[in-house]
Amino acid sequence: MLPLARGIYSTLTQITRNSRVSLHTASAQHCKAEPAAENETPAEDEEGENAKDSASDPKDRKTVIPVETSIRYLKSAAYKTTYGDEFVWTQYRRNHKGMFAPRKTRKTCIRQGKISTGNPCPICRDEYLVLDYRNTELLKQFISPYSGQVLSYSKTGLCQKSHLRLTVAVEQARDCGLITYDVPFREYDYSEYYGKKEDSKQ
Amino acid sequence: MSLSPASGIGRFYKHSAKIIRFVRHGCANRPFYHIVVMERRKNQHQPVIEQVGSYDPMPNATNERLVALNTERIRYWLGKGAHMSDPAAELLGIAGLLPVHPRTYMNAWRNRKAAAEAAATEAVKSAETA
Amino acid sequence: MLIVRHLRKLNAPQRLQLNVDQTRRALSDANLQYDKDPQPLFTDAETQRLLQSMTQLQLEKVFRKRTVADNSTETKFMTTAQLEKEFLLTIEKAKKLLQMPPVVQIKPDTERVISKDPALKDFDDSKYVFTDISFGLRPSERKVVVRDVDGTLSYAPLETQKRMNQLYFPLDGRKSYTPRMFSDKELLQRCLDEHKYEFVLDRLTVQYEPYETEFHNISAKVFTHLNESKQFDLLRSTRHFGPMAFFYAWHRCIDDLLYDMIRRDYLYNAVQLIALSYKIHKVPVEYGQTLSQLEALQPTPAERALEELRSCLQKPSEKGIEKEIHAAIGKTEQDFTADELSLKFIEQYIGSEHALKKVQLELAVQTLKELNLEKLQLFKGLKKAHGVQAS
Repeated sequence: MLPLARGIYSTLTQITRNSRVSLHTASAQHCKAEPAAENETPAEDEEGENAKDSASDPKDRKTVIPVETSIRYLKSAAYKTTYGDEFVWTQYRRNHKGMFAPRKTRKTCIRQGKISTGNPCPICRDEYLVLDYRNTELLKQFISPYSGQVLSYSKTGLCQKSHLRLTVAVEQARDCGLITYDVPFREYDYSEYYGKKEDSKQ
Repeated sequence: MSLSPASGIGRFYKHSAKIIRFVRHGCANRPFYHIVVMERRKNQHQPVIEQVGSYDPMPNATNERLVALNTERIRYWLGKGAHMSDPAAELLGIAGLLPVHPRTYMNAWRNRKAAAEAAATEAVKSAETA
Repeated sequence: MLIVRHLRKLNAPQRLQLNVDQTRRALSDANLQYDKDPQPLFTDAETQRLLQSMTQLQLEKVFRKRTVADNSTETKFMTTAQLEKEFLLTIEKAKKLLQMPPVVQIKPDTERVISKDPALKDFDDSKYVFTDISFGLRPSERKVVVRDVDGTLSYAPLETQKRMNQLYFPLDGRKSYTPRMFSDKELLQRCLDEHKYEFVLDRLTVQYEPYETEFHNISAKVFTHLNESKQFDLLRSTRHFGPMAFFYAWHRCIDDLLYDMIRRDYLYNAVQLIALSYKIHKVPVEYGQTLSQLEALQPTPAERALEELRSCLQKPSEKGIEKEIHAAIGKTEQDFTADELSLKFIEQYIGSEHALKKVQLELAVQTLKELNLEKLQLFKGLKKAHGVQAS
């Protein structure tokens, strides 16, 4: 029984490795259906050298993925097949016992360079989603179109560490002008710049 | 403990002695002062009549000590006959609102003297090594 | 530079050496400055009216949905009279939102010493900055004084003054440090290349005072970039359109904006722009008469908006056939006469030595004329067919 289970597990991991969405639970089914998406993955060459050690452990998060790779990944077909047109967090559901989820999400999904949970948050489960101020396409998914604020972790399900990194990255991106926002209106008192004389004229 | 509003909540008698003084806020090793008007006899952490400024004695990144003064209210209270504590009077003297406090002149003279002495000993030392 | 070369090719024979030189300097030098105080010309009542009219009032753009923390709306039942009254109030509000940032000269930083006290030398090891936080003072009136280590008491430099104001009375949206968007040239260039002009200018107005060097440098950079990319429509009906038009008129490079206005059939604005440039450079051309004639023919923005509202409220059957024809063609009889007047004025400008891109402008005017002629014929034909009396 045991060897059989291991065999199934290894094939499963193989499939998930191939489709580059190692632990994306929601997409496990259609990953199997479309294994052809593999070729489009932007990170193919980076993956090559450490394929051996990370392939043995899909939970490994020790390799640092550069932002450029992540930006290319968000435009790729592999991303499209995994998430479709939805945001990366829409399909994610938190696991909790009872009717109500705990107020806060978990502190972190990755401990000592490894995924330490069975249901990692939307950012941690996909190693090619890198939170960085240059990765605006990803950051925009977490900004409310109504209030312009960063969405709460109770909505997106991000772990506390990812959420902190997200808020920092969004603030940096705004500072650099990579993400636009509505600047508060500044009302000018003309007499302050043109003197009182102009005031009386008008 | 939440801070009381600047237009304080302290109760006072009409003819009691008022004083403009510092109240130490901040925490251990990080002083920060409010400049307040309160009854003279009261302890500094009692509710104040009014806050008229703040003073940050630790120099900031550009090596400045920041002082905020509500000059309009300070003049009002001084006109009402409020007293001044020594540190507050020194600060207002430096600000140019009052005549410079004698103690400031004393400190300046002492600092200059100490600097001159240090320079002299330094010169002697360097001469010896040379 | 490329534009200048292109421009030279276009009007090689008729160009005026002086003007081309000025434009070349204007376009190549990113740091265009106002060489003398622009304030009297900018605050002049006539200039203000011209600039405001050029800005236009597009209510959808002014009251577009903003991503702010609270953008709640209120729904009410009203009678038509109440609605019109409320609508006029809204237009007043829109005008307030379109308030132009003031155009002023760069303010030099002068050192003003209050007193020198050598006996106070070395009284402390760092200087003291005193800020007057008295209630109800305006930022420019707030006194900030510095007691230096050597005992001099003086007014604070502008930079310190701004910092203290921001510290004790924060302005919403202003950062205490220079945003990287403004300190890093590449990031600013990237913003401009992505045509985020309004965002950059909005942020500029919040971050800097209008008399600061950075304000002048960055806004000049934005306007020159805009002149090259020709996306003037992005700024139309925002508070920055007026200063932009003023900037172009001042630096004699209105031709691109003029071309854009003609192409979009904003002839009245084009006339105003030319009049503004005449006014700034004191060109002896009589423009007042044309302007007043045109103004009489044009409805004010409030009237226009109200008209639109009324037509929305009316049932289609209630509308007269005349109005329907107007709606179909987009112009009334008055508009056609106004167009004729303004085209005459514009052609006069193109013929004069002040225009630099004559060929391009002439072409645009020609196209517009043909289009107008077609519309006029259609207009007359429709009227005749429906039996409407020609007035």
